[in-house]
This record gives sequence, C-alpha cells and structure tokens, in this order.
Amino acid sequence: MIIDDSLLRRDEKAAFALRALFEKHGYSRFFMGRFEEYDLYAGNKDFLADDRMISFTDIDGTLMAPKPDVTLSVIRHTSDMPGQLRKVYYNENVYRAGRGDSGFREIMQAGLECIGEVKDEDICQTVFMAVESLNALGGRCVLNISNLSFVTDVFAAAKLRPESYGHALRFVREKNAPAIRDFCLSENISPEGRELLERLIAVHGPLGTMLESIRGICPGSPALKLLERVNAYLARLGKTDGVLLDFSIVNNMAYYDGMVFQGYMEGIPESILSGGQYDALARKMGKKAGAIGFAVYLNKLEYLDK
Amino acid sequence: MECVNIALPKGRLGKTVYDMLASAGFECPELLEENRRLVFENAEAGVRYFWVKPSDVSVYVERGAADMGVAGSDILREYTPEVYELLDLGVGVCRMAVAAPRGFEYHPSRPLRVATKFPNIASRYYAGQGRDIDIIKLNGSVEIAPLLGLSDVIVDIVETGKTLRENGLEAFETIMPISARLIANKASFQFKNAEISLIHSALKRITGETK
Repeated sequence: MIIDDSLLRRDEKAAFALRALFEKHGYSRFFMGRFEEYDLYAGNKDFLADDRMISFTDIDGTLMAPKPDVTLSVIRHTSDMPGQLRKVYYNENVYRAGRGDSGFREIMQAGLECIGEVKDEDICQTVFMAVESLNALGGRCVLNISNLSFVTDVFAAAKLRPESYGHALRFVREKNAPAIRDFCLSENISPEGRELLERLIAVHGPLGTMLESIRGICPGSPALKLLERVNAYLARLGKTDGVLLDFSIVNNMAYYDGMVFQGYMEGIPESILSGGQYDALARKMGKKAGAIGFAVYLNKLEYLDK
Repeated sequence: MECVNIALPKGRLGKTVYDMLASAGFECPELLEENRRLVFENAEAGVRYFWVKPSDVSVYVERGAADMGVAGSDILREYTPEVYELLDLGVGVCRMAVAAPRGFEYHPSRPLRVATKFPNIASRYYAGQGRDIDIIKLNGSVEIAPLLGLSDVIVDIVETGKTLRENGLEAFETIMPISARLIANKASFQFKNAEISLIHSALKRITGETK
C-alpha cells in the first residue's frame, strides 16, 4: 500500500520520520499500556511538567491514570541488567493539563531512552540522536546543551552555600543578571564569585567556540570534559551546526544530573525537544542503572499551521 | 537583520522605556502620536512595538507573539512566565509590601486575612513565615479592604505610600523591591539572538549611565 504523505498531518509525518530514524540507529520500540497506577506519578510529581493529571478507579478498585509521561513507565518496566544498556524508542500519546485552565489535552510524543550502563559514548550518541531528530523535523532548529554537574561545579567555585543552589539555579534558568547581582550581595559572594556566575549565564553560542571561551572556569571539571567529548563526537560526524552551549537549561535536579539539552525550531515559541541524564530518577525508582533520553513534543508542530 | 517584536506596557512606564529605546537608536516616532493604534514599526531600525496591558506583557513574550518586552518584576514573580529576564531597567521602581491600618496587631487565634492582586507572591511570602492565611483575591482598590473589614492586611505595590496614608494604612513589611525588567522569549533568543543582543547591550549601556 502506498500512502500519499500529503494526507498526513505535520505531527504524523514527523512521527514516521522519527520512527525511521530511531530504528535505523538500533533503538527498539517500547510498547506500553495506556494507563499506569496513579501512585507512580503521585510519587514523582516534581518530575512531571505539571502535577495535575486525570485519574480513574479501575474495575478492581485501583486508582489509575492515563499516562501524563512516558519516561517513568519506561524506567518502571525496565529491569536492571548489570553491564548492559537497553536502547528503546516510543511514540505515544500522553495526557496533560494545558496551560492555565484550558483543560486536559492529548499530546503526541516521540522519544528515546537508554537505560543501563550508560557510558560517555552513549551520552554522545544520544545528543547526536537529538540533533538528528531535530533535523528530521525539517526547518531551522537549534539544540542547546548544558551540563548540570558543570553548573554546580561553578556554584562550588563561586563558594555558594549548597542550600542556596536552588535559588541560584532559578536565576541561571532565567539568565537573570539583576537577580544574580542581588543574590550575590545578600549571600556575601565575592566579586570573583559573582563574575563566575555572570559568565555562566552569559554563555550562549556554538558549542566548540563557547567551550573555548569558558576554558578557564573550573578547568579540571569532569563535566566540562564530557561537554568537550560531545563536541568532538559531533564534530567527527559533521553535526555541530546549530548545537549551542547554554547553561540556562535547568531541569529539576532531584531527577536530572549531568548532561541536559533542549531543542528549538524556528516558528515555535517554546522548546520542542527536551531531555538529559536522569540517573537520579532511576535511582529514586530503585534501579541501579544510569539513564539518558529525550522527548520530542510533536503537538507543538501545530504552531507552524498558521 | 530581522525585525524584533517588542511588547511595551501601556502608560507612563512604557513611554519612559520607549524613550530609552529611542535614545539607543530604536526609535519609532509615530508611537508617541496621539491615536488609537497599538502596533508601530520602524523596519530600518529593525523594531516593531506593541502597546499592551502591563500585566499581559509577559504573556505575549512567553507565547512568542513578542520577542522581547518590558514587565515589572511584580508581574514576573506573580505569574513566573518561562522567559529570560535580561536586564533591570532601573525604572518603575517601587516595592511590594504588607500594609494594614495603623496600630494593627496579628490575631493569635485565626488565619490572617490578606487582600491582594498578587495571591502567589502573598502565599509564598507567608508560607515562608509558616503563617496560616486566608487569601482574598481582588482586582483593584485593594486599600479599601481593611477599612471595610474584608481583610486584616493587604499585600500590594507601594510607590510613595501616599494612597496608603490617605486611607489610614501604613506599610509595615517589605516583601521585595520592584522595577521594570527587560524580558525575552526563549525561542526568539535562539533565532534572533544578534538582534536581541543588540537591543540588550544598548539598554545595558543606557541603564549603566542613568543609574
């Protein structure tokens, strides 16, 4: 059967393109049910983009929820396999509250997850897959990359108190220079410390160039070395165009640690791809495994339908 | 260079900020003409301005209808939009404060009744103090609430304190200082970075000079 792709919606075309890409690179499809026990999400509310969710009582009395998220299900249903790495992809609908009070929406998501013994090479490949996923969507895209461990290395170098990291992270996420200034005054951070934080939030540009520009900041940091390794990996494959270093990508540090990234597409006012290393979430859910993955929010392609 | 869409808050603050932008080379003279138009463009300078309600600026920017905007830090703390907050413009300076009738004392055995236009800021502030409160969300003329027994205190913006004094109130706790901030949409920051950085740098120079 030949399908005329002009009949497909933009998100449907993208879903097929991503599925082909993931299969081509050796990821296997992860099938999952439409519902999970509500407790899975209730116990990890901070990981979800929004803690409001639909719930219903199943016929055996168990409180259930239509999935508001895929990653939690993938971790839950993946058993520990020491020394191995499981590479899966998905194309699923999730159910989340819309912005403000606009009710629940069905959202089409595609993405991939690597769970198990995640090595640096696997992190590099996941970032490469994120770049290729954006390319598969067509249009002008950029991928912003950060490493949360590097951000905390800078906080430590600036002599921030660990209990104030949460505040400082918010200001980094907002690139909020005025708030950093006030924060440094109230926390008695030295002028050198303040300069480090100001340099951190100002970083935005091509990965290779920016890595050169921050070479003097925490030079021995393993997190910085990992960023350099990712850059070298992408450069070897000729995929550095549109890959930017920007430390304002701050996911919840209770779940994410290490590399994080966010993709943008011209014409869409918010990120269309989001992901990173979430070893902390896997640990919280009782797994010994490391984990990295990302999701592409295909529903956001509707912004392009003018 | 692409045109940068800038949402300005209607009113005195917006005009002050427009003067700053104009002196930085991003002028659009017809914007100050007395008419009812809301959108003004100077393609040569690469800017398009919109006048919008002050509390809506962050919505326009977060949703990408505007690439940049000027919003009070009160609005940014209340609605916590997902935007970049690039610069303190040093204008529209005032503070968010708790005010009550002179001689007010906390009632020890019931929640504090707080009238405000800023329920999120007020809730966070009192949560930080561990105080039980009853929030009464109002949309204006907040000062009247304690006078009519609707609330014990108000959480509101205080500029000179004149309105409070005239209504027998006094500010007795400052929650945070407030000023106008330059904000940017996170996606626009990716694709119009050169243009946004140009405006940001120009305003940074000006605020550096005026502070």
